[in-house]
Amino acid sequence: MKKTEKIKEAIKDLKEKIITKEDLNLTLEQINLIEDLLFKDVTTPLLKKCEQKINEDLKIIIKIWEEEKIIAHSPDEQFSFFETLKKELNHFFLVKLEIAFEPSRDFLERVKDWLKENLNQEIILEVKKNPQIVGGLIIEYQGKYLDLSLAKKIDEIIEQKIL
Amino acid sequence: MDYLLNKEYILFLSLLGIIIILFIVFYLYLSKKIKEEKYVVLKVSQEFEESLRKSTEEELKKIINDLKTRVDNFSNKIILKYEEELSEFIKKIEDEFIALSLLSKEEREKFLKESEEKSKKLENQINKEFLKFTEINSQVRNFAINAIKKGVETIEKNITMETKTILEATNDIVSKKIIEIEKNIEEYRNKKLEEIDKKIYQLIGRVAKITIGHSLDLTTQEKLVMESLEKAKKESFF
Repeated sequence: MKKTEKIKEAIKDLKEKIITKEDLNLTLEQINLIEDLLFKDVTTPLLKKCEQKINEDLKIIIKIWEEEKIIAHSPDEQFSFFETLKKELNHFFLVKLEIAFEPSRDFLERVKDWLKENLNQEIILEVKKNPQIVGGLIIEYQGKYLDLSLAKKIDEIIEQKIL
Repeated sequence: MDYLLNKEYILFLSLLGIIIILFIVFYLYLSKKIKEEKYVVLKVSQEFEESLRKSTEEELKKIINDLKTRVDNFSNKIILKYEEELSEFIKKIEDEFIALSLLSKEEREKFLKESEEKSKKLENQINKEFLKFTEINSQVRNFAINAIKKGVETIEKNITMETKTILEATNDIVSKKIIEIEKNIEEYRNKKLEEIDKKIYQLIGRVAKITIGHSLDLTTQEKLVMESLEKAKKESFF
């Protein structure tokens, strides 16, 4: 596999690990931190330089990237790689969800996978917990809004009864 | 010759013009004078009316005063005449009394007897008159009572009729009012019931949301979200 393909694959893997908007913001912040360290102590490997400042998930990823030589040794190339990575990470489509409960990570992954499969887009989620919607969800995507909550259904039933 | 004729013609026209102008001036003067005369006549008539009113008032005052004086004089004369007659009458009575006191005992008794008889007769007559009067009084009284009774009956009848009419009218108004009020009450009741229904349903809605919200476990919640996504897809949301 060529190096460029390897880089693409690595970016794709990272993108899959990013599920929510918070994940994305955190990842971008950590990439900025890594970029700040690139030109300091150039002889020290990247992972060693930043292991105290980044989270475990990113540490594992960088370790793999270093082992598979996806990340070059020169700071300039490293900087270029992370800039490319940041650009790629800005190409997500945002899907806003309002749900009645605190979702687990697994559930959010399932939702993301479903949306990715059905929209055929790289997406991230912005999830808001709102117990007042009772169940179901309210969804916003590319300026469109759809209320599929149980609260709305109950309101509709009550409205019919009143009328 | 023609020249002379023309000259005469111009002269004639000039004279005619002067006559017309004089006539117009005279007419204007005449109309102005008529106007002034009219004004004078109007003024004179107003003044005349005013003086006539004043003189009439004065004459009336004089007549009233004269009448007053005459009436005063007449009443004074009458009073004097009566005073004179009264004094004469008193004098006569006094004379009679003196004459009576001078009468002898027999004559006095005779006089007394006559007087008694006369007084008895007078008493009888008075009694008769009194009886008549009592009878008439009784008749008048009965008549008055009957008349009053009739009047009262008529008034009573009228009052009964009026009361009946008023009662009927009042009943009609009251019935209409009652119907109207009943209608208003019914409308108000329905409105309130609707409001209560609405509130109850809203309450049911709120309770249902809370109850359903609490009763749904995590798995069901997740299932509902996934079903909602499927529904959104069916509705071509994406």
